[in-house]
Amino acid sequence: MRNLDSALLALLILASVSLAAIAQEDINATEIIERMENLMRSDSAYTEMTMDIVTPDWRRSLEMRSWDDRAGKRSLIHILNPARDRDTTFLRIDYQLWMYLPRAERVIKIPPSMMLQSWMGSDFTNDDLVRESSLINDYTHELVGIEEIEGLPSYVLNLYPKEGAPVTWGRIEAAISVDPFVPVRQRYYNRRGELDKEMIMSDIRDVGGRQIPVTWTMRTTDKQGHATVMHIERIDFNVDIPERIFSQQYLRNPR
Amino acid sequence: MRIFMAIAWRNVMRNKKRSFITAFAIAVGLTALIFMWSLFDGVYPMMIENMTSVFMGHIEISDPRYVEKPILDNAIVDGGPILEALAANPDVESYSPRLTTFGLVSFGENSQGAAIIGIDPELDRNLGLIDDFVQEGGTFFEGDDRYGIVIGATLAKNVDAGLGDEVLLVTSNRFNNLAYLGPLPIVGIVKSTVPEFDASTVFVDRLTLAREIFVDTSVVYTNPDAEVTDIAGVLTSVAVRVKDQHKLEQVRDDLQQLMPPNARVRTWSEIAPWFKQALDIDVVFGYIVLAIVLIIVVAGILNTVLMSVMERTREFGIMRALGTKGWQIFTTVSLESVFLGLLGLVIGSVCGIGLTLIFGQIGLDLYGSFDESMMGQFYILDSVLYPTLALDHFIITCVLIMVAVVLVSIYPARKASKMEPVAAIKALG
Amino acid sequence: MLLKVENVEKVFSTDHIEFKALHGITTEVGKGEFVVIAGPSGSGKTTLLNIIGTLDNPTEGRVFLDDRDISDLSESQKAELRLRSLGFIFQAYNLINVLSAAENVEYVLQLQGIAKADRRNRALELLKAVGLEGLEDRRPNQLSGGQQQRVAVARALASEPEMVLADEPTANLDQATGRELMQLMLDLNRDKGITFIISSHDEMVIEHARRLLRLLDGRIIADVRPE
Repeated sequence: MRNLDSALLALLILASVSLAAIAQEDINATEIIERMENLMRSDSAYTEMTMDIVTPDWRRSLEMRSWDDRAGKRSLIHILNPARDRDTTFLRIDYQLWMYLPRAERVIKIPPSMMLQSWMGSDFTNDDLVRESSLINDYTHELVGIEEIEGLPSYVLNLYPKEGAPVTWGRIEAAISVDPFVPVRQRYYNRRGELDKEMIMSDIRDVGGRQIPVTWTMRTTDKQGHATVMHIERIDFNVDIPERIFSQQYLRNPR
Repeated sequence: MRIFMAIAWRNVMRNKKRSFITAFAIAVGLTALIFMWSLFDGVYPMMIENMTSVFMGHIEISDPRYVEKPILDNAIVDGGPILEALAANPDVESYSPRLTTFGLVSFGENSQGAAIIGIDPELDRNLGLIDDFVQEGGTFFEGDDRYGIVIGATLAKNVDAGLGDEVLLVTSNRFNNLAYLGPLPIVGIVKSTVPEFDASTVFVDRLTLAREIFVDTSVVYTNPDAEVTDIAGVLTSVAVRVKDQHKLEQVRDDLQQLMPPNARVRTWSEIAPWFKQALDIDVVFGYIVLAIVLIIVVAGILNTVLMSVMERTREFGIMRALGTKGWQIFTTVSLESVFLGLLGLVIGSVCGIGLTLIFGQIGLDLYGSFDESMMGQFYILDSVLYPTLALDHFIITCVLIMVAVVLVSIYPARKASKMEPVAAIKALG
Repeated sequence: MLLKVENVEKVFSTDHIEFKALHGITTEVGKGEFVVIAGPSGSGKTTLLNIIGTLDNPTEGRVFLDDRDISDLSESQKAELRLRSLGFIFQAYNLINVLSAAENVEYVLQLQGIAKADRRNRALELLKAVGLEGLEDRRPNQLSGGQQQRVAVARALASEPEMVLADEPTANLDQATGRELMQLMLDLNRDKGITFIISSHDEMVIEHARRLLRLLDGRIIADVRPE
């Protein structure tokens, strides 16, 4: 009887703390998202990273660097390795995407028909590169509660697309670890409510002055045994990016 | 007997207008039938030839999973033995392995999605299909052109490229990675009878394509079996032409016996069953027309001969009184029907055969009746049709008509033969 | 006796009515006779003629031709009999329209299987005998009524019958032509001994009778030889 009483009491305390926490944070589901975005993004950034593509039968590894001008909706991705793909470069301006094919010495603009194809063989699509949606502005946010995700107690939020938002997902479930405050998992559900993709963020490091996860693993539900793993080597947040980067000339000659 | 033939014939001639109208009705029906069969007989082989010749061949071999989902994962990577089996088979006239994938054709600012088909130029030329459609000035990978590309005319137009222009082919390889060929010069432009084909196809050397999409130096294999060892054995389908189309099913079965488990052999009618059905429907249609014509014949003869018999009731009575036997009267009336039928048959045959021969020479030009887009649906038809006289259909039709004539004449002939002399004589005055 | 009629009765019945056309007719006709069966319409003379000619069957009684009971014969046998032993002349529309005069005469000979040359000669002979020389190849619609009847006579004689039956042969002819026809028949009867049985209600025909059977309401009321 006494043990039961203690247990009940402990439960009550935990619940009220959680409730208090939630109550304190409930109206701040949006704040959580905002805070996360502010952590992970900046108006401009220079990134160096590797991307491992894993399948049951084989795997590949890419090294690349990119400049991202979020405010100006421009970005450039330059593949450094391996040799086969070296100097393949992508330039995005607004909703348009160009690709430089070094062996052919040609630039092609990626037509709508190609947009949903895999980007460089990864679990990402070309479309993902030009996607403009903002987790903050294009979604409504709902805090579900706190759960243990990937070993860390995390805020679990449901993000629902707003009316008219340029978004393909039916719902995103975002899990952000409470302490340290970093995203740990995002699950992407299609409009039928089925889980389509899942991204796990791990390996929290100090990069560019921030504590962020540097390993991002993307898995697609349909493709068992496949995964795309990104390792961030370096990020410079809020850098000045020279104008010449986002140009056709640089696209053709990215060095 | 001769007197009855004379009586029958003269009776037919007695009422020229009525007899000729009946004979004419039969003739019109027969003419229509002859012409229709001739059209079918001239057109069917053409339709089948077009259908199979533009791309497919008589038989196609591919992985059944590829049939369901035409992705590179379902390609055949060990096709060497298949090609050997085909080379050794005496019923096979020619064959051509293809490696088909989908990608982008890019020229300057323009790009368009297309099927990129890798072929072996010599083998595909042997197949004698697409190379027939290469337009003036181009070649189908002859000589130095071997490593260029051959493109559908509409596709070339859409990207604004012509002979000699260098074009980029962009696709995904087997590892889903970016892959591209080129820029490669256009060495030939194809204009077939199939608009969809011309708008979405580009040909390139198969081995070159296979090396680009089945080999990726950036890949590390965790499963050694996944690596392709014989690049020449990589294909998505093999198009086959047989020597004798009548043995088609048998050759298919023979080949299937020799195939590895991942290869399925199909005839063109299995690949495009809707096409076979369309042909079959036409045949059914033909028989319906035949039935209608026979009904016209039957009605016409019955009407005319019955009327004639009714008019001559008294005459039959007198003939009976004179000692003519019942069967002799029967014969006379039957002969009248036969003569009418023959008259119709002769006129109809002359007109029908004549029409067929004339159009067989000059061709029936449908171009005016169908516009280009509709022709796309019917891509199996050339715009000019050449009817061919099929003797067997002609003879069968004539025989059927005569049989109908004879059968239908039984009724009035019996009626005439059964007339009581007295009643008959009393019938008129 | 060439012809014997014994107690022949003929009843015509429809769904509602029975009509007795002949009551117990008994008579005999010898070879070479020239008989006229006279009587008003409905007296049964055509019926009697038809029965004698095997074109109809008596309801009761029997008919003997050359001592042979014709009532027993099958249709086929009757046809054969008609072909070889009897000749018919009807009131009108005697001829087959699509055949010429000569061909009409030849018809009965063809039925008997006689060779072409013989047929043709005989036909021409007969047509000459009835006074139609030169008109052999004319079709019936190219001949007058009287000429058509003459052709009928020629045809009736073609198979050298034992008996010629004529039913109202003059009915469609004018007096003068009728007379000519009667005279022709009498001449043939006299010269060639052909038996004639003629039915008629025409006084002119009756005048020519060598034997007269009068019929009234299906009964023989008189049997005379007006000499």
